Amino acid sequence: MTGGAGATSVELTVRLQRGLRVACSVIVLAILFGLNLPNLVAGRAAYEPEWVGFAGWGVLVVVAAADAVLVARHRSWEWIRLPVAAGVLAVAVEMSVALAPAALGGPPHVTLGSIGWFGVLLLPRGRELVAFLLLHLLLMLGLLVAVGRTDQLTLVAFGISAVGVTSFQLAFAIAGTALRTVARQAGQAAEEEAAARTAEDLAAVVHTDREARYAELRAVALPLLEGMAAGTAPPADPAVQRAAASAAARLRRIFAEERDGRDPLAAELAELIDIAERRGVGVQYSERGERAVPPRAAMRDLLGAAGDALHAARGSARVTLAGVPGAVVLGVVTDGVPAGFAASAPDVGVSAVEAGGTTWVEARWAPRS
Amino acid sequence: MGTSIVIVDDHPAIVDGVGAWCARAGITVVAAGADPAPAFDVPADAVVFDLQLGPGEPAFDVLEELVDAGRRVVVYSQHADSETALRCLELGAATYLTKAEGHEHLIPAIRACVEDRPYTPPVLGGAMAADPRPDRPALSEREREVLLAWFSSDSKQLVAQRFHLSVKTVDTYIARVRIKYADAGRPATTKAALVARALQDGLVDLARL
Repeated sequence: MTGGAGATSVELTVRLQRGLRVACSVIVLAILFGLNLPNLVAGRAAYEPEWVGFAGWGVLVVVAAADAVLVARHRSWEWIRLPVAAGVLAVAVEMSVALAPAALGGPPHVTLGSIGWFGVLLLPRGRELVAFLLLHLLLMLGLLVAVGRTDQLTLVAFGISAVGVTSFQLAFAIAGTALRTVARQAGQAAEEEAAARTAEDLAAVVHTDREARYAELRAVALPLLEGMAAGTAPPADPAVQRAAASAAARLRRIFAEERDGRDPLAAELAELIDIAERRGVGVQYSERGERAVPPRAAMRDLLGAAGDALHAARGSARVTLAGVPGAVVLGVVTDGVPAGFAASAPDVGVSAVEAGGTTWVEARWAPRS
Repeated sequence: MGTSIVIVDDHPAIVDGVGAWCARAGITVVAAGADPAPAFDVPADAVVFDLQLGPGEPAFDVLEELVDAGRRVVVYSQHADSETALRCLELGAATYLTKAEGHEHLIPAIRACVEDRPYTPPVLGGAMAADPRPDRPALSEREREVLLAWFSSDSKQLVAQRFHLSVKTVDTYIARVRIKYADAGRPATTKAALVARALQDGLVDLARL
């Protein structure tokens, strides 16, 4: 019941997270090639030595490419995300240190705006991301202080660009978290709805089943009761008594079926016994062994033989039902003389033995396997 | 000297009923009641034991202690299921009767028990014939069929007629199965006595066991 709906919830979350990761990869690659590369080419002279700028940019491209491959393969960085994030930060510091102090915070300082996106890429946990962004900004601020660029203009410009870029990155991460929460809630709502639907279906099936049983009962018991009330079916009439006994037995069977999982053979046998008991016949019943459930035709023959034998009983009867390896055996011993027996199902045999005024009828279902 | 028994049953009507049957059959009831202590302390030839002493679990533990104390026990119980019957045999009860079988089988069962002879009422026979446990004693096809017929018909005469055997031969088949059960599982002096007596009577021979 929860399996299908659970899959929906998980599926939603996975689809959403995947969309976010793809978007983030695209943003990082667009920044690296569309923004950083032109700035780097134009400002390459600011790096000392010059190749450090390109080398650092190359490392960042490799990380972004590796992430794109992981996204395509439905994999994540797992534990390796922290060393990689530290490496990215080291690259940023190295590139910034190689930069001429005058260029810090300017267009050639490409890592200042882009490194934060690597944080978003690598660190899905909010706390890790915030720590990463803060550490990067503090390092850059420290560098500015170290090279002596503590004039108000520089610090304000640094502050503006830092806040501007970082707030973008944080907004992206917060939006991701919010969307994940929405997805989880939507999934839960879908689960609850599915559970409610299943419960409704189940209740409908149970109701239909019960309706069918009571319809059968109404067809048998109601006309009888109406007849008795109207006087057309006098309770003294033996035929009415038989019909009432039969209806009562069926009623009891319906109640019994709701209570326990008795097999149909034992249940119908109980009905036959009940009818005999209603005639005043004392019936002793025993059940033994583990039984297979015979097919309908075999069951009809077994019960037919038992019913005829019980019908002949005058004062007492013994009914036994046994399951032995390869057979189900139904026995009736009666003090009456039953009429002949015939079984029509191919694997049912009926035998009768008479001695000293009692007759023992045995019906045996032994399927050929 | 007449036979003496102790009745352990928590139902006064059952105690009175069994007492009346015994009186008519010349069996002396030396103690009776819900308390099993006299069954251990008062000397008697056999104990008629109700497995259900009050609400709760059947008193298999008391049965086991009685058997270990060397008492011959006829279990007389309202439990009609095979499992309970077979477990009592395993513990060393001489025989097992359901209360529905009492009027016909209890007195013969007590007599057989006192002589260490097997007595298998039909319901117990059914339990052995349809025993589904994998470690049950191996029965021959004929033994199983005769036992099943005994369960079904409750008449050795009908069984004999059905299989074209004498009543005595039917008896032998039924007794043999009981001895096979006595020879299986947990050892008990009562079981050993049953097997020894069956060997003496020629019901079974050592090679068959």
